[in-house]
Amino acid sequence: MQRETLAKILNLDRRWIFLMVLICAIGARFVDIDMQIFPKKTVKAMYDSIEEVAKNKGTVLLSMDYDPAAKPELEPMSRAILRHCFSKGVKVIGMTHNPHGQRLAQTVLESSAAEFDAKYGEDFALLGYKAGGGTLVINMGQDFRDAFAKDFANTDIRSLPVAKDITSLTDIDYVISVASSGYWEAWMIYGHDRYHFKFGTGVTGVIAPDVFPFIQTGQVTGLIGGLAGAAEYETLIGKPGIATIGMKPQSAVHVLLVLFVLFGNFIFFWDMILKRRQEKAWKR
Amino acid sequence: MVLKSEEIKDLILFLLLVALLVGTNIYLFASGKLEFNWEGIGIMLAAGITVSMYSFLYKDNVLFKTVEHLYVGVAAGYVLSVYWFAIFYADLIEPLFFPPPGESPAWYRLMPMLLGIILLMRVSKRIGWISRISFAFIMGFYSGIAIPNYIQTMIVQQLHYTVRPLFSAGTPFEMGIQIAFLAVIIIYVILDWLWLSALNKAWVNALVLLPFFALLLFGIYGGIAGINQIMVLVGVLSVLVYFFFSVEHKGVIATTSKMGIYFLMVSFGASFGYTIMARMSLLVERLEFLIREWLQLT
Repeated sequence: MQRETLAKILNLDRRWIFLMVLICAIGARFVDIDMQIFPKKTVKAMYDSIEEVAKNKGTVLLSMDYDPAAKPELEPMSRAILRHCFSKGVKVIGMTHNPHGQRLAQTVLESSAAEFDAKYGEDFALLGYKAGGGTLVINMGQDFRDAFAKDFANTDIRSLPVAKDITSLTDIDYVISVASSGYWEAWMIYGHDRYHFKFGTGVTGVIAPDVFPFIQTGQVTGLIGGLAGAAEYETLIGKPGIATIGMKPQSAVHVLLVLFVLFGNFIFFWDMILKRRQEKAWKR
Repeated sequence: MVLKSEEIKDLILFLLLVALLVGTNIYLFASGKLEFNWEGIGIMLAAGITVSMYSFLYKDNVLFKTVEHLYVGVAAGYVLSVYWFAIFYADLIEPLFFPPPGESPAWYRLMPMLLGIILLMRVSKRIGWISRISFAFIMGFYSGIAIPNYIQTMIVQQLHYTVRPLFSAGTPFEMGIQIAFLAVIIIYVILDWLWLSALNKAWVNALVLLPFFALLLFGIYGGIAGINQIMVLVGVLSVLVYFFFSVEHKGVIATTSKMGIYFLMVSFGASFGYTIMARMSLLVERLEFLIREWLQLT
């Protein structure tokens, strides 16, 4: 192949690549392949933690700290966690640090609760949004009712059976932050390390590598990373959902990207070899 | 106005896109696949906005600009309403002017309200200086809250894990693998210092590193926990040496620093891989919405 042809390939208009990715993602969606999903240890750790809470008939605080931009990755994992909790009779208190996330939290909480006939106030509650980040976590640790005197519907939380006995974060059996940015860090730094409650997190794929050092130290018990993590959790609870469906196109696009990288490197090194041959020929 | 062929092509594509969107929606409503209620109209709008956003990948166009501005405006308006009801009304107005029966107004909340108003004075050139009071309060408060907690969580706890016993108890075979692994690393450092860095041949480097990778994979898949501990220690030390610029990077320091670069490259690669997965997930979910909820093909 001539160097001009290689140069054309190397400088291919990126829109062709976008088109190939789109066709691959759509095509893989309709291919009937049974994909096996193998849950990671970190995802299993969160599953086991909720199972332990269920044995003790405890309470989980689920902080859905994401906005619509991260909804594709984080809502499936929130839904999977909620399905797990409600199916095992675990009480859930929902909240959010993200002002864009209040309605998202409400939607996913209510729709998941409806699948299991969970009752608001008795089995779950939604506290809503409050500003503050780390200071809110500290406030919740010192005096839960001072931080959230009322739920998102303006009902006194002392009248809600699920939350009436909660005076501090130490009364919560497991705190999970499903976060799209630094909110999980705020929970860990100002919450877990001060008040020593069990803490797990679900984050986007971009943030997941940053969490691994804290799993090794035991500061985070359980991590769901991205859509793949959500699919693994759905596999563990035995309820395949949006995340599991998304694994086929996701995997197909990943394979395509690997082929692109290999092909691109091959063309690059071939061009380099041709260039050296050309230079040697000119020198003669 | 005479259009160039490229512009004519783009105009045709744009009109085709609009026609396709309109035609598809008419078909979906007419066939009953989408109900003509607020939910159906919402799905139609969401699908149209999604396709318009993605049209930017071909070229910037008026549809994309319109939905981009729409997104910014709607997001700002929505957040304003959340801030009002969740913070201003719930935490300020209600406790001050409509306290619960039997409770006195929470007058202490006037202080943070005042600090907030002072902060907004920043926009004035004449009295903007007064906002420094609020900034000083914020900086002092957050430094006091953040610094000790960050040091405890991000440094002390991480150090605690890094200085665990290097060789964990196990069978003599596992202990032997751990010792061999550490020995391979030390041998590589010495070889690189004395010979490999001067030779500067990547394939020789790769050959010498083969036992390292073989033992690493064997340790990981064989479940030998001590391998992980050695990797943590070697990785932390070598990366710290790489960022230590007070000593010239020569000899053993250069080799250790190069190992630090390898660890950094592996971690950046892992981060990059996860980032790609995250971006693809966003595309996959949007396509799922278009296929399932809009077009209802499954």
